[in-house]
Amino acid sequence: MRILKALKKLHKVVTGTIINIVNFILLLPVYFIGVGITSIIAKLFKKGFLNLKKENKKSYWTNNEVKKGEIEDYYRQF
Amino acid sequence: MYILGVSCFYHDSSAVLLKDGKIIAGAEEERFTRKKHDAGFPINAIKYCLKEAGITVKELDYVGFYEKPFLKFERLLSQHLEMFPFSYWSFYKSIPSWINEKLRIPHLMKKKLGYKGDILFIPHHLAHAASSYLVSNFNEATIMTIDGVGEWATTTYGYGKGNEIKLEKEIIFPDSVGLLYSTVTAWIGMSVNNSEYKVMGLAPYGKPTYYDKLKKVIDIKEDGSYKMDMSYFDYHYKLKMPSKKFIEEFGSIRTQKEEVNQKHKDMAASVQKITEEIYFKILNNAYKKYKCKNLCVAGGVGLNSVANGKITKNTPFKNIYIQPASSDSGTSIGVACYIYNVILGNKERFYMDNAYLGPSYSYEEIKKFLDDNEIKYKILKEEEIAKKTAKLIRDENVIGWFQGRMEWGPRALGNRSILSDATNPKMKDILNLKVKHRENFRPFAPVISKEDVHEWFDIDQDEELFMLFVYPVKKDKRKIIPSVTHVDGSGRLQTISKEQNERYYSVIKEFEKLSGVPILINTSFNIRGEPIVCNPYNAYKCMMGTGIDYLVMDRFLIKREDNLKDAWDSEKIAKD
Repeated sequence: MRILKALKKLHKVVTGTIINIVNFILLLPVYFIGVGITSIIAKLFKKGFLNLKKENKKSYWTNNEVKKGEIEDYYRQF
Repeated sequence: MYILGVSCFYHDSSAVLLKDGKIIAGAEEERFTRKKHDAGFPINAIKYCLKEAGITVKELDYVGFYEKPFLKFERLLSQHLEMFPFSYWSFYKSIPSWINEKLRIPHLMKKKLGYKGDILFIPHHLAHAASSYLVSNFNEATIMTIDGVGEWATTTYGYGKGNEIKLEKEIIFPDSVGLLYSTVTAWIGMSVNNSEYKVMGLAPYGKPTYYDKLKKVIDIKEDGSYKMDMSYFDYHYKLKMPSKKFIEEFGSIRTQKEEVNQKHKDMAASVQKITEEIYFKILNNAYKKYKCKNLCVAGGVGLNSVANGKITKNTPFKNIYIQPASSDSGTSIGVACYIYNVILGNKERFYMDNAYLGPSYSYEEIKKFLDDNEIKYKILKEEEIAKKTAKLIRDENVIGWFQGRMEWGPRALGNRSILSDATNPKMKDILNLKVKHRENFRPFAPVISKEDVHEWFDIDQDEELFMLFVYPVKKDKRKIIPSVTHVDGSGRLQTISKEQNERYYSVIKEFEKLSGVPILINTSFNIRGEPIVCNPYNAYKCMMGTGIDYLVMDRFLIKREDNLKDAWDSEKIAKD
């Protein structure tokens, strides 16, 4: 039983490591090409995705655009 | 009609089941898996809910989820697009779970639950708002939600009227007072999304000497809106907090080997002051707009009981309702109630006046557990339970109290509690050292019989159901109950009446007969780092691994000393 448990643990560690390596390699092009090119082009056109700029407004509240919709609106994931 | 509300994949997964608008079962997944803040799909919590209702998945009319996943993914992508190329590590760590789980909720529901129907997705802060307002007894209320972040919103306010909820204003990511508090928690060397309440407990030991410096980091307007200088923060593109600039400004992060010192206490006091300032400014601004004295609060920051206890003194609000699981686990209630009351338009609302939504265990089930494991016990008569328990408490014993249905939310409220003598000045140290294995600055909370609350506390409400408010202990009483009076003279109390929980109430009254004091220490029944106990096995294991002297489960009295064959040392595994 102990040997089986140890083997199971080893299997988990090995497969976990392989998954992590494969993910790392597969996600590299997705990030650097997919995200990277989009980000660079956006920055060339001075488009930002998060509001990181320092501002000094009278108020930082924005309007909440969520309105009560029909039931069909809630079946959407966006 | 059965409606299931589900919350999962970020932290504190949970499930709640409504039957014809009434909550009949709810639980957090962590209680079943024993993995604190378990974020996985809450299959065990769902199975419990269905079992409690005596139904299968096929009888579910609606299933709701606590956010709009695609909107949240949009925000996540925005972070990476903005912070390229510095966010690769966070991208690599987070994207697989989105691809495998978070963007495939309907598929997961079908695969793990066998539910083939459509899912309703409720926006996160709307789920928070509903989780408080729709289970309050207000027909009209101002609503504030305030947390780390949902899809985009981090702070909102609006109003509820009848069965309608409208959140009108919001602050969006990356500006987040919840994440500011978490950053300071990380700076003090404590775990994020877990230890923020400890920072709150640490604050009274310090002075807000970092307040002015923190004001450089966050610009707060008179209407309560705020904007953060993100050069001090990393959370929008890294998996750790805080940033190098924050460290340069405030000092290095506390390591585990370092003791909590005055610098950390002062920082805790400072972030608490900032949070309260924002809290009350938002509320005062909202009151000017809606002129309604009823208030509902939700979101993780709504668990800040110190701020909650000051609302009536700092704002015009008089009646406040906060649901016990104010953080993400509570959104499953909000989802289910929103579907029933708002989307489907059902008028009758369910008022949540107790938190006992989890599983219970019958006399026979407990007896079988004890007999099967050869555990020595005594059986008490019904009329003996309170008297015997109170006597044991008065004799300086620590009691594990396991009764009825498990509580919903992070607080133990008399069904999965550790009880002990609040009048004993040594009891706080005994509990911190021997039982809970936790930091000595952490206070313990009192439970008091409802009719006595005004004699002992400066409180303007008549009751406090869910331990979500901290109030001052009356000055002439502080020395009588030293173990539940925090260093600043306050206590995070629970009131209890006979109608709410008869056995629990009776223990307090019997204790009063012996001591003259209708107050006990009530702390959560768990080993540090583990969730609150769920079943008899968890309870027994907790007692045998700690300094709890007796366990009272239903009518069974189990003495630790009689069962030393099962003793073990939990201190070695106790951690956050």
